[in-house]
Amino acid sequence: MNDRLRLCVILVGRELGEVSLVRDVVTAEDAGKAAILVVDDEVLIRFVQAETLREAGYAVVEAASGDEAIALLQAGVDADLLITDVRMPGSLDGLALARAARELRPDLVIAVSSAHVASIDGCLDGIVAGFLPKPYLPSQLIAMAERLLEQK
Amino acid sequence: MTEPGGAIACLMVADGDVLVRHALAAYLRSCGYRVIEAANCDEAEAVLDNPALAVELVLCDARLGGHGGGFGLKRTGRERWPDVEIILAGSAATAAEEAADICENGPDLARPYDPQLVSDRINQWRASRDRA
Repeated sequence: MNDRLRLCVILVGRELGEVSLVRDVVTAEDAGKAAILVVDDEVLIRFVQAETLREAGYAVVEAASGDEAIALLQAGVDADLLITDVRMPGSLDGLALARAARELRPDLVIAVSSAHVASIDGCLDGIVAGFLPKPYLPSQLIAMAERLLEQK
Repeated sequence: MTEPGGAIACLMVADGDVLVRHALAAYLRSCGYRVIEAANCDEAEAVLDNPALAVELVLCDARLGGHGGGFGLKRTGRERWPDVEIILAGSAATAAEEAADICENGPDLARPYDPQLVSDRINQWRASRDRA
């Protein structure tokens, strides 16, 4: 099944409520790449973050909220690393998302990024593996992703 | 997909269903486009108001969440972003609710998306733009 037909099946399936079909959404170009799920409710920040990581060679999936991130994980979208903002609207902020994601995917590496939380020391011990204070340079984002994925 | 002169066309996918948005965006990236994802009208407007991103075409759910929905975004686009092609995707029921105010033919694309029709529609837009 080529990528185009696979996508068609996925999209039609989604309309019919068959969320499990989304599992196989990885395109041929992304096959073999480490997958990173970036979560941020600020669209421009999310886009820059995602493009930075794509240009560094990662397959990137984007979510605008904790609820969207959980929907993606529940649907089986590939993710080796989750990088999430902390303060987000919706039922799940970044820290709640980290807890929920850990339950869904015990092997998922999780990092948080925020302009409001100076440190995560003591928060979510054993769940969050990395913290990136905002603002950050693209090189810092890439370095953190590389370090965390190498440790996995 | 490289334009004459080397620039890669930048598209935006605006859809409140993250699974649909992700799948469509991934497909369009595999076609060579640079794709920005927006989850609602506010995000779509923030992207379109940023000229540095140079979005040329938007694939938008007719029922996009937020003020005005997809039809409202298209209506706003006529004045604020006249150079941006906004393609609405939706069902016949959605068209019946909104078409009289915005476009007599209703949504331009059916939703769920057919990747081939999406690709064809984008190519049609590019061809007509290049002739202009």
